[in-house]
Amino acid sequence: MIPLRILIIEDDEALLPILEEAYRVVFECHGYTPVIERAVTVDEARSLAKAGKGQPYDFVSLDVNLGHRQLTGIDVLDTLKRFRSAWMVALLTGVETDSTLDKTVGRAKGDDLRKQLRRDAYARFPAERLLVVEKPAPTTPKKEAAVLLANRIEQIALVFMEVGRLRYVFRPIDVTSLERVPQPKGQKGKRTFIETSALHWQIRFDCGEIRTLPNLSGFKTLHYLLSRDRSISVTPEEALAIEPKAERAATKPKPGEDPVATYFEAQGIAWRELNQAEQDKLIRAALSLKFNRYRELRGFQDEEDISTSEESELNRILRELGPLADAAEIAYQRMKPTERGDSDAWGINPSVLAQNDLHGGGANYDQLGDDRRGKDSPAAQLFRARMKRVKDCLRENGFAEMAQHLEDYVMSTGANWSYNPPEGVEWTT
Amino acid sequence: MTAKIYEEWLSDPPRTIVVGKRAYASSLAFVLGAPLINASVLFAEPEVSDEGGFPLVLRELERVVFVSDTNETAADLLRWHEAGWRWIEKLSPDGEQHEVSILFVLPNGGDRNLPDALALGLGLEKIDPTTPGHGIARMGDSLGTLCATLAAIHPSDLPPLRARKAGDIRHAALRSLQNANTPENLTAAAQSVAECFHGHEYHLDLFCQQPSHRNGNQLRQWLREVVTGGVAPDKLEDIKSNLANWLQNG
Repeated sequence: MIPLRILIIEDDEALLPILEEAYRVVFECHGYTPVIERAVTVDEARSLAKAGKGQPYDFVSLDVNLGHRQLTGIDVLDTLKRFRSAWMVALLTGVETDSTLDKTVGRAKGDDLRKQLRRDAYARFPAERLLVVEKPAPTTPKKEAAVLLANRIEQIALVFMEVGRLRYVFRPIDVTSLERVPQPKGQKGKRTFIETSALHWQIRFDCGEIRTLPNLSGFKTLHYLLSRDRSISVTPEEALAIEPKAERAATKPKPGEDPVATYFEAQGIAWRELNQAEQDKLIRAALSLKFNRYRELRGFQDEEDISTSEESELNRILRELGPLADAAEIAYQRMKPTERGDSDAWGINPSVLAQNDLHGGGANYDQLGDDRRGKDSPAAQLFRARMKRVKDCLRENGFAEMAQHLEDYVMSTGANWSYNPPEGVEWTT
Repeated sequence: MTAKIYEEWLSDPPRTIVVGKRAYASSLAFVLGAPLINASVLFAEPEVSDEGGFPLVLRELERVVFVSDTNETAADLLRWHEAGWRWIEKLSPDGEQHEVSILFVLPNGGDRNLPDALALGLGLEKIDPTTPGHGIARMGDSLGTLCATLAAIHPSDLPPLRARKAGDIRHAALRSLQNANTPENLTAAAQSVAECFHGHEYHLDLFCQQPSHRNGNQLRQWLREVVTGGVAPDKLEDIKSNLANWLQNG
């Protein structure tokens, strides 16, 4: 049974226990153990929403009209969004089904109010995690209303489970596929396939965050996740909770201690538990994040064509690289066009540090020969452009191997991507 | 115009800030262990950090004390209040939902209508120990009393304040006046404003731009003319322009 934190915000004290029971029954049927909290006023709801920062509710049932003179459920939605204290919200409204509204203000005005409510709601909370749900009309007989409510809550639970799979930054998933059974050489016959199961991991993150966050915390989070046991699912809140500890744990190496080990351990990575290959990967990834810009600025410096602000930026990069600064300089020297040397103390040889190898790029189907251009469908062109953007972002931020993995996956689908890009690939922006 | 963020705030985010100019404010800041800033600093935009964006130096802020030690008017104090909230919105990760307690320290004697005017400007009936978010003390109060008053204020954030102002009949009447687009609507809105502020017309200063008293006088004069004489259609644009110059936005 999966634990589930639910918050029900409802000022109608007769309806509150009905809702609580309905949600409990439905979610228990679907394998959850709901822990339900209640709020009956706007102030109470906003307090709980603020207290939920860092430990969000999985699901919030929120009534629009909470009996407050000035504040409504929409204001509570603002607080839930600001403090990121709810994953999904179902906004319960009577506006949709209140026939007296149309009688009072007219049908046109009533429609305007209903549309305005939805606009206000979706402007305040991510649309894919917000449901606007009609309560049964006040004139509906009690028994019928209870059945309607139960049906709607069932639908809410189904949507929650469907959307809930998007929640994890990082989670293991079982992938079942059909693998062709190899036939002995020379033997012809019907092809047979065998079902195989393998554990993969789903990593879902916003590429844009890696580049746009001032302190590149998204990058550090992913570094950390890649070094963790891949059988553990991690929600965004858990991933973000890693950052402050990693930042505060920065320590100086003691005399005789490996500065590189200290550097990575200060970022929450269990350096000493990694094998040599994993350590090398992390070093290359940490270098390549800043390396392009470092290389560019060192080039300007060598050409004596570096401005004051560029020099400050170069010094800042050197400070951020810390003990890896030497490795970066060695890599730069080796990559200068007229200078190539042997491998350095880190075991990184020039062929690895060459631009494409540092990025780990291999086959790159998104660069086509001219003879292929114009033969792809618009969908294929769009797919290829998006893939290129994602892979470029991954490589620029030190995830070259992940970019290659993505490339390999697409190629393995066997889809004729020129005409029919693989289906089932989710693009999120 | 931008104001530099205090260096010490970056390493030691303040929990209390005192806003004022002279000896009393300075002494109070010293006793409370709080930074003292001049109101003119608040009126400027906080400076953006090197990485872009604002440093979140007000993330731990719990209390703001506005000290009227140079006989500020209610309109001035409300402008300080608004400017202070602009800083909190930018420099706190919680933005407008950051909860603070705000204390106005007023001079002894002085305008006895000042507390009521502040309450009106904040959309409150009055400011007393039960009022969320705000409190009033006097310079003649003992330090112990002042600290107790400050500690007793239940912190509040901006949405309830905005909602109160939106729902207040006087604020609503002034918004109608600003939004009126026809001579008839303008006349009706002006009459509504006159009724709402009947007997307390001086409170219109609170809703005027600086210089608030002068603009308030012009607004009062215009209201008297319109209530009796109506609005001529050919004067509509001029009147709307004047209203925009006299009244604060929102």
